[in-house]
Amino acid sequence: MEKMKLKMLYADLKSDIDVIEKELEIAVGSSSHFLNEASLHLLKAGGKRIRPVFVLLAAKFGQYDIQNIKHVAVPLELIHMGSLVHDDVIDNSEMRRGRPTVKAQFNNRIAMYDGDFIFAKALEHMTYVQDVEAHHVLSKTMVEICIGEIIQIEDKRALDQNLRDYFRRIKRKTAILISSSCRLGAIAAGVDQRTAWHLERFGYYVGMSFQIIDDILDFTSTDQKLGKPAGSDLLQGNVTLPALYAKEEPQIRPLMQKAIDGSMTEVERKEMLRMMRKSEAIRRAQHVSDLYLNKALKEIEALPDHKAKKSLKDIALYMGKRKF
Amino acid sequence: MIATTIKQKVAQFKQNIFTKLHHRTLLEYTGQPVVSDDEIMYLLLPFLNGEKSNDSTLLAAEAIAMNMAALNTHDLIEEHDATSKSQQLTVLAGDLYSGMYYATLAQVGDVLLIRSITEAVATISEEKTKFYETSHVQLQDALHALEVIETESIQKFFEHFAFEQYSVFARYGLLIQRLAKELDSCKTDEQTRFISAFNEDGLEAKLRNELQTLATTYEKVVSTSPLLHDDVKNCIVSRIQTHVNN
Repeated sequence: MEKMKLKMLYADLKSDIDVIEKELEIAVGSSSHFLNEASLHLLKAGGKRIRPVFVLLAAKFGQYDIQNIKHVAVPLELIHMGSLVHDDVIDNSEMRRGRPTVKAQFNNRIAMYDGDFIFAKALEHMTYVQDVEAHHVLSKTMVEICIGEIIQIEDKRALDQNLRDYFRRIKRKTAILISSSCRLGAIAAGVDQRTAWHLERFGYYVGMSFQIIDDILDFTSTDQKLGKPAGSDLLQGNVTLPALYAKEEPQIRPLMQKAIDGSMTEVERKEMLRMMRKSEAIRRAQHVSDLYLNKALKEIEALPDHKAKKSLKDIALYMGKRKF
Repeated sequence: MIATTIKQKVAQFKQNIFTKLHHRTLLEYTGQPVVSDDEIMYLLLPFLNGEKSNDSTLLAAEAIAMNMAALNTHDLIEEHDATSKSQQLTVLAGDLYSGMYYATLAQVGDVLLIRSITEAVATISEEKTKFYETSHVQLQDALHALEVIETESIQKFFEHFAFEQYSVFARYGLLIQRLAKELDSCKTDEQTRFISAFNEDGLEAKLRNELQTLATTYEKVVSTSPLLHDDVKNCIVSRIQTHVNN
């Protein structure tokens, strides 16, 4: 339902999104049956395609030609897909988007090769873009995302970390890819430097807001809506913004410590969620997300007049206020 | 260039790659990036043999070495349990090295080279996966697949910079290195995917025989090559003998 709402927000882009969908399917075609099956399986499971949407909307501020723009939109989505395949190995996840993960369907090694294959196809597709700056942006993005994930593992199960640690982690984990999507869309359409800069900043702020909401929903949403137990982030040792605020509350902290140590019972999990939901931590995290969202909206104001501004605003507001 | 100098150049290049790929946490949990002396030697073979290099060719060679490290690293992931911290970080190490090879190729600024190398990576991933697709493979098919897996990136690099005449050495040399490694695993009953894919008796003898045949043919190719200088020939022959006699 929520995904449908999002899709309605970018209904104007539907025909171009369809072009990208077709390109994605062609791009992951392989002579290996397993890779073919694994990649197509992942592709058919769908997704919000939010990165290509930001590419397309950013490109609207320049010379918009879907036949050029698709060459940056497709690689960005493929890189996101390849990361998910490898993340499922790291997290030992059996299900994603309601389907078995590649590692569950085959094994970890096939998942590694599938991810490598998808990354290679992403970069191969990207070579249709001659502007070397685009390659600098994308390669730097890939490196930063990995460093973010390494930091996440370094910080795992450490309750006594500070807000700075969290922000530098989510910047690399999420915000950079959205920010780069905007920047690459701008490059592909020859958008002027100043506008491109505002678009990139917009993507960064939206990405930060989006990730904080994601981290809040992990505590406030239901197991059913999340498709995994609520509180999973903490149970896996990932200390997110609501948790960083909640640890200051003496009645919640011992339960959080249990979640991190892996010694939490189901009754305690439910109790922790109940306490979290009525705590100040959620409200404070929401406030920080709103600050980022407002910064994103300010960046939109600085963009030249174009109807894409409204779409960017609607999507930003949706992402910053979503309930799933 | 005498053999010691070749070894030094290989070691120096490798150290440079380690420096560029250095990450404190990865070093602690996953060790140095996995790239062998043979891989570096064959990658640098044209230059070790006196071909002219420049900043771009050397930077491109560094990117290929990083790419080999990335793919080799992902071969270290356990098929069924990668939940330890070191395994999780091994996944990310491979991904980071992938990002680094792409960043280095972007620095070279040659988009066609990026295309060639990424095509190689896709092909290598496909060939690796094919070992899982059938329960029984023929030795000659498997050897061909191993050759692709071990040499495709270097071959694309050679093609791009018009060093194709060196491809034959990389093909033989790196296949011999890989077969020697598989033979070692066979002797110690370590089940690699290559070994599992055969699912037959007498594999050790077959591998030993194949390795010996390849080494004999390759020594002849090297010693009669009008292209290679004597010191390079000696260095290659010494590497072949190390693999065969181990």
